[in-house]
Amino acid sequence: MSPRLGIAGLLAALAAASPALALAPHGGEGSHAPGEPAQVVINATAVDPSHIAILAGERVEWHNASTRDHTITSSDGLFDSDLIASNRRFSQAFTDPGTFTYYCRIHPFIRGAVNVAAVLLKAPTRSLVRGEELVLEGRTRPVGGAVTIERASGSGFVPVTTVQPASDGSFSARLPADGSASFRAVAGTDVSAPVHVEVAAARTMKVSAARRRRSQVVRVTVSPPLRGAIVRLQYYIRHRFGWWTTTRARLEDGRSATIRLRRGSRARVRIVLTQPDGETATAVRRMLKLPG
Amino acid sequence: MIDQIWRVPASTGTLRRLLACATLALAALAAAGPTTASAVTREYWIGATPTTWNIVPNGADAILGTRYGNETILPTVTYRRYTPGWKKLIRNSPADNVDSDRIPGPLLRAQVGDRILVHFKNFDTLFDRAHSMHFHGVSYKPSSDGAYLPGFSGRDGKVEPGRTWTYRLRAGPQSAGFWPYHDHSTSMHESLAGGLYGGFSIRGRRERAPDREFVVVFAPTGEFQTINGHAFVGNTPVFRARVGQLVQWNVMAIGSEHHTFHVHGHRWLDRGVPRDTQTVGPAESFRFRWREDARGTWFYHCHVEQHMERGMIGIYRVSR
Repeated sequence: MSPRLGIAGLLAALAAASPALALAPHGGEGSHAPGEPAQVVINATAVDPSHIAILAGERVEWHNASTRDHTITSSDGLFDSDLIASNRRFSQAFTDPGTFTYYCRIHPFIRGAVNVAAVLLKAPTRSLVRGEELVLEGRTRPVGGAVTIERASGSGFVPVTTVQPASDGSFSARLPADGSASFRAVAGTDVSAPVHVEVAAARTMKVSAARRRRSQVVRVTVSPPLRGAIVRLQYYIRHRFGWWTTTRARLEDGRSATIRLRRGSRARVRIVLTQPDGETATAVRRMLKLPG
Repeated sequence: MIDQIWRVPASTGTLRRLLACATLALAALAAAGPTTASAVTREYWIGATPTTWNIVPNGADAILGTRYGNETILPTVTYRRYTPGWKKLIRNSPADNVDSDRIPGPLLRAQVGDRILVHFKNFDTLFDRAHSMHFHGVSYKPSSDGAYLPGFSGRDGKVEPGRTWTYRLRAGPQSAGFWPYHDHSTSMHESLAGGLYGGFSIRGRRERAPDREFVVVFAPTGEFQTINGHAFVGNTPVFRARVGQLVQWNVMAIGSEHHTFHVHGHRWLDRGVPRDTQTVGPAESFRFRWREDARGTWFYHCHVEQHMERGMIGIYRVSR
């Protein structure tokens, strides 16, 4: 493979990439306007996003948003930007599928990779609950023709649905999330890399509240167990403009949790079951009135 | 850093109210008196610790009626407070709640003349990045600068995952005020975008502690413009005070943009000039105090409109 050596271009001002990408551990879905190069920002100590996915034949443009000089240098000797001064740009076309890693010759700890594919397919970054809608999004070369979504089975991939891409090659397929599986997209002879979707079993949650001598006790039981999960007890608070967590508790053995509250309140509370990260709700919620 | 004290009386107050405020202010000054603070050594145990952060915990921009889902949840690394020896993770502030105790990092406090030891440990198993702590407003030797410079800096500027470093600081005569601290290692840019920063509040030697002390950090987080890592009213801090209390606002900015801090229904003095809006740029900070006299629920926000509509707005509640 030899990517067509790019032309270092100075283009009109383009919006810098969102800092959101700096937070994502595997950012870079490669979404960009048709015909425009995918954008990567070179910061003082890292590129953002560090991994980016594009279609074969597309370009990547790096913008040096730091005050230092940098280079974008192929780890395999396939391309080299030479010095990119502050606020200057460098672009490179990639014609063949593959993964192309690069680094900065001045700051070798700055590293990144460009994943080049004939078809791109993106799965949700979070796990789904059985019964939710699974949305698979992707992009292919705008050459016409349907895209087939295939699901891995014991004997290989089997077609599950067909979608028609938009004029820019983008497509999305909606499927019921009925179990964890790998999917891939097929457009003619082009095939995407498989993506894995994690689907958790739907859970039931029983919640009860009882008055004790000096406290109120809220007991939460989850079935089937969700190891490491957290339950949040929330009140509707006017100045919070919605439900607001006041207490969190981790499920013991993934099955149950006990939350103790002070006596007196007869407020309505809500229990939210989350993934072990403590934030991602699994959509299981119950309301109850505290006994006081 | 700009340090300014005292507030312009509310324009709507009656003569009686003004007299009451003046009486309260005089009483406070008398109570504060010429306090004699002896210098001490203060120790903090801090970790750069992975967490999962929700920028919009109530799931909504209540003013515009926009709903948000799990896309506001981000894995990140923040400064957290520990008991000595990093034995136990504790809340950054006793006043915090479960959804707002990680960004910003712990509010460090000291008084002019104090020696401060900040014991830092990098717990970053999420990104496996080096981190550090760099402090504004205080004096230190280069080995406590916390900034990475190839060939010059030591371990203080690049504390690898699992490693520790103690920063030795001194609050000198020019240290009174509110100052930022933040990661200045090789991962500074990504880390600051994820909330790896905090504030340092240093009182003058004869300065009394305020009754209420608020920290406001303007910074982008993900796609949002945030205050203390949260976006939109209800999610951003709900500050509270009572009429008559001495209130101190500590304001700073992180990122690459300027912000304009504004509080409704209140004014303060900036070098003798009344203000109700004040600009703060990247890593700049200021503080001011007022004796509260305006009951009600008020907005505080960045007045850059694009920042307001992306979440940089909160409420301040004053009761009797």
